[in-house]
Amino acid sequence: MMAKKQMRLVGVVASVALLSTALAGCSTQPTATAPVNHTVAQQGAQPTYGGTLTMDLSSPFPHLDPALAYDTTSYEAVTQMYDQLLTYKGTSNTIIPDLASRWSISKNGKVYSFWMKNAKFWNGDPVTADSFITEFQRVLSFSASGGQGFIAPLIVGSEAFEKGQAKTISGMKSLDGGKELQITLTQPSPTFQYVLAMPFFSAVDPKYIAAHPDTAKNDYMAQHPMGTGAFELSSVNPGQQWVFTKNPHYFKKGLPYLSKLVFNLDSSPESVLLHFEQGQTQFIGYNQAGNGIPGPDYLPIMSSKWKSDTYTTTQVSTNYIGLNSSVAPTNNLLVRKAMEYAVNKEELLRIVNGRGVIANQPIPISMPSGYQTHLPASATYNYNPTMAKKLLKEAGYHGQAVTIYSDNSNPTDALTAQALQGMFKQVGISAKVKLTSWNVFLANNETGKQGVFTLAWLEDFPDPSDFLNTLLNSNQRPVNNSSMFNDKAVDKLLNKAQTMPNGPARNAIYKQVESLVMEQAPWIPYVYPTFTAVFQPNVHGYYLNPNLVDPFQAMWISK
Amino acid sequence: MGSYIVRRLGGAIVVLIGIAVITFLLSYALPSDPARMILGMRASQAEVNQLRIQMGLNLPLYEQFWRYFINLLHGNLGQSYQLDMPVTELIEQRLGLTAQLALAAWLFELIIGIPAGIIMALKDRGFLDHTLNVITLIGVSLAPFFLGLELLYWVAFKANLFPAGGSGGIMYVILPGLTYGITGAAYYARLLKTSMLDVLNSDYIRTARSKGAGMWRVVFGHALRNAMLPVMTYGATDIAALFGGIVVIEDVFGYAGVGSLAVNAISQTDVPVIMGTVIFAAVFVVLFNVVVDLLYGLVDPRISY
Amino acid sequence: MSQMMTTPGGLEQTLAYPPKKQSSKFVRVLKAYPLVFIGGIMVLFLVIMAVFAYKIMPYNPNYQFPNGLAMNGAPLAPDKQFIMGTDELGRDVFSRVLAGAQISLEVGVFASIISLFIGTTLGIISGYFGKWVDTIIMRITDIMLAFPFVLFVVALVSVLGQSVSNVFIALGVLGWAVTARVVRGQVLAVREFEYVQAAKALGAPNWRILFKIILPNIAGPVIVLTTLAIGNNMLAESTLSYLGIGVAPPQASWGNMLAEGQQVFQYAPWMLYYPGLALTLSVLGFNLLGDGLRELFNPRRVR
Repeated sequence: MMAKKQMRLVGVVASVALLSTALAGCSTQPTATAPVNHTVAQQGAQPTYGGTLTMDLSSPFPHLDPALAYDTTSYEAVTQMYDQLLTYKGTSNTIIPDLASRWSISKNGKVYSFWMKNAKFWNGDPVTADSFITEFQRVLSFSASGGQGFIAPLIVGSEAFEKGQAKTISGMKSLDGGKELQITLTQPSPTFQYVLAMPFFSAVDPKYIAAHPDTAKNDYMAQHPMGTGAFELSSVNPGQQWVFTKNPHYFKKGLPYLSKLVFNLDSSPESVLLHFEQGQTQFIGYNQAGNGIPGPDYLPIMSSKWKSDTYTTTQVSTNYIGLNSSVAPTNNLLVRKAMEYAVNKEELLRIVNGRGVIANQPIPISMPSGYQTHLPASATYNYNPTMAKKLLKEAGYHGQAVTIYSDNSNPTDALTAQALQGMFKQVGISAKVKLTSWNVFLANNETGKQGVFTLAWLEDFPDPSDFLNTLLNSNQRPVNNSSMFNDKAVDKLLNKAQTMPNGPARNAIYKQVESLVMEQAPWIPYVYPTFTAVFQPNVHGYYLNPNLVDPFQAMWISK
Repeated sequence: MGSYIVRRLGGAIVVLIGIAVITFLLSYALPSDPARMILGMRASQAEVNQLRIQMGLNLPLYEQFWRYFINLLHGNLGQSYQLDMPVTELIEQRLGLTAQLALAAWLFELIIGIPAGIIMALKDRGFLDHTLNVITLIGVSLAPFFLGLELLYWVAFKANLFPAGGSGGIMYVILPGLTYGITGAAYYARLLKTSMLDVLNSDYIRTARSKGAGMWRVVFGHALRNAMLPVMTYGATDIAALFGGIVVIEDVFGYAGVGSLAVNAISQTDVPVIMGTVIFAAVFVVLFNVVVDLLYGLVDPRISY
Repeated sequence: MSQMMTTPGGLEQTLAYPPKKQSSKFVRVLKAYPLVFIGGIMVLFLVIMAVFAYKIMPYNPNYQFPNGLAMNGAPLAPDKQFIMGTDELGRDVFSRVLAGAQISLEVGVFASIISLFIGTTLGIISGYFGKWVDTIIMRITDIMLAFPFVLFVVALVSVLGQSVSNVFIALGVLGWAVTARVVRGQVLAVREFEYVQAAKALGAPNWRILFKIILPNIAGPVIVLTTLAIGNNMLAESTLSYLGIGVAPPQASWGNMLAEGQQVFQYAPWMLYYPGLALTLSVLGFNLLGDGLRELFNPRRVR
């Protein structure tokens, strides 16, 4: 559903890009490990109310408006303040109602009906069907949103609204005085229920927004949020501190336990560690750009007394090296293949302290479907410098310089880029490393001109289309498909799978796509990373759903 | 006197215009497109082009400069890409903290530098002189972020005497202030030593000594007061620079002043904020120096115009 | 007043005195001021290390040893094979410290030469020709001195792009103001000497006065300033690296080694302390030497 040919080539997912959600996986065994006394599993202890959870934040929240938030850092704040129609249960991929009390799908799979719970915004306004209609309209009208592709043209009338030809989205109706929301799709979608759990499609207060009109460029909601969530933004010291306080009238009775969340901006890993060790902060987790414990802090924590206070889970995420097929010398398939053989993935995994599983294809092993257990030999590359040299010779490569682009804000990315440069050098590829800030890196990557780059992709929802279609369909060039991969056969398969019902047939197509893609070597997938959070011994109730962020509303601090 | 003030102010205005020209040219030459950075990666090229026109980025260079200059005169330093707020507001919010730290840093420089300078003058070329000289020079030779981290780790964390970074209150300014003091004290020590030796060798001090006045009385009663003039002159310009933000040290200690604002802006390539903090610091230095010069003219009759 | 902002204490004051012949006092100065020896030896040692870095170092500084990392990816503590340990990529820290000596010294020296050249030229022109030329140059100097140096350099490096040469170009191009001020002051003083006045009156050409009289007379203070500037520029390079815009990896400079070591110093302190020690001692060497030379060139201080 996410991308049709008509879809604008907006950078749909680019900024989330790095590091986001983690998936404990359904088809594969969840790998979460945590000490019993910290998890929800522990039923014996009675949660206590009150307390402040203080954390470091690695960069300012880029967006506090759900219509614009599409990155792991923003998600951390937005999901505390806003709720959606549906959400995920516990650490699973099972969809459950959230602001909806119940929901149904028509026989033909096109009409979705939702009945509202009795929930209120912080200002006392009730949540109605219009709360969602307004937000869907905002997403469609903010060109910088990035969420359009998930609902347009899927929802009837969405395109007409987006183009300004209609004042409302004809496929969204408020019924029964706002108690029921009906959404009509142009065709059945296997992933629409997941889309509705994304922060883009939260409940917002139409009355509040009417009183404070906003545009994407001058966004009142970004500075003054108004949601239904468990925590309310209470003060901001721009670029320094964000404080959230408990919503006493939260619609989930008895939640949240904590009175306050405090985020302090601190970008250096050594300070993040010191603050935690000194007890100034209680927690390091998703607040670190969705990565968990920052790379340089991992070993010190794992060799300290806090080792037993950590929580580890496999992310549904792939760290990869993009090989751009539109610029020389990576436009030569043989050169790309040589690079595949030149990379020692075990070494790259060791450099990140073994935090992950070696990757061999775009879809992460923890994705419920689409992962191919046995890739054909033509799509498999094992570390083999001799083969790499041979292929380079065949390709007629004569030492053209390659630039490896990477983001300097992430210490492990910078290390990976340097390690890669060393591996390339071993087989005779001369490469230099160019590190820039994340903003500049993305802006350049989006143009599709960066020859070799390190990047990661984290699932938006548990469906293989979120990786394959978003990142490798030629209609996603150059923003999401910044390796400029362009293969007619792959496109055809991907477009077909977009509207197929979930099941073995669709799954088989994605597996086929994986082989076709890897044969063309547009990526060197190298690690499916794991996520590790650490907390002070008195912090309880932590878990991480692969599709969501830190569960602050379920966490509590014992006295 | 009147014509001196006019000349001094005239000179300052020329300098301020020069600062504007240089910062403008630097921002202009930067490879990133401001319109794209404001709208974000997901905006379409058409929108970016539209904003470029709106921002006047398609105008000839001199017209762009003129716009920029008029904005500066109105105290408008542009909008932060990352924080989506006027740069002027961001700086304003942090001025208080930066001022506190600047003051602390300056005091530490004096606390370390002045006694060291006095002793070095009294023990000129003696063992103590050399020792203190080496010690203060080691201070200058340390990378501030390196020293800052060491203090943070050993004093704040291991000895648990201070919070390991943060801001808001006296406990938070001591370590960063001390860091700056250590790296800057040598200048004061050296300056005071030199001027102290000059004073001690002057006739009236020799006279006082020959009349049997004790060394300490001479030093603290007469010499120090006179020797401090050049030190305070340097101190005035030094503190002006400090108010512009102690860039790296603030960042190491997570201190929410103008300096860490600048460092965060650098890591995000938030050009308006980087340039804003540059201009702010430069303008502050110029204006502060003008005021100090004029005040000197009022209080020190020896300065003639 | 503002001219003293970045001048190490009292430098200008002491430099302002007209230098005289000092050869006879040379030995006395060294006796009275032994630190200049220590500084000189430290600098000499650094220069030798830097020049012969690639001869001395046991390994290629960029080679990532497969056995240079523990199984869990932790860098190795100093041992027989890696006498200063390894870094997070399994590279030999000792070899990198040596390679870094070369880069850091290169940045320090070239940046200082650029400032020296610009500063001396402008200072001489300003002081010698005076009038409106002087006013213009001194205003430009005021402008340069008003800027916060680190941020100013950051902005320029962002424009030029990140590389070793751009780092020293930026440091050099922006760091000449103090030199210009000092040289100008010196020239003004020398210009008033009787023999200069006499030479002028006799119709000696400007270039002759400049090269034969003025240049030799300002050499002392300029050498002092340049010596101190090398140390300062080496420090500035480390600050740029800390801010992520210094010498680009994988090339080793003490600055980026410090910046990397900073992040992991709790479990790999050798990654921080060896380059930190190297940098501090080298800068200290230049500071001691410069400080000593200042005494040397200031005859009034030796009685």
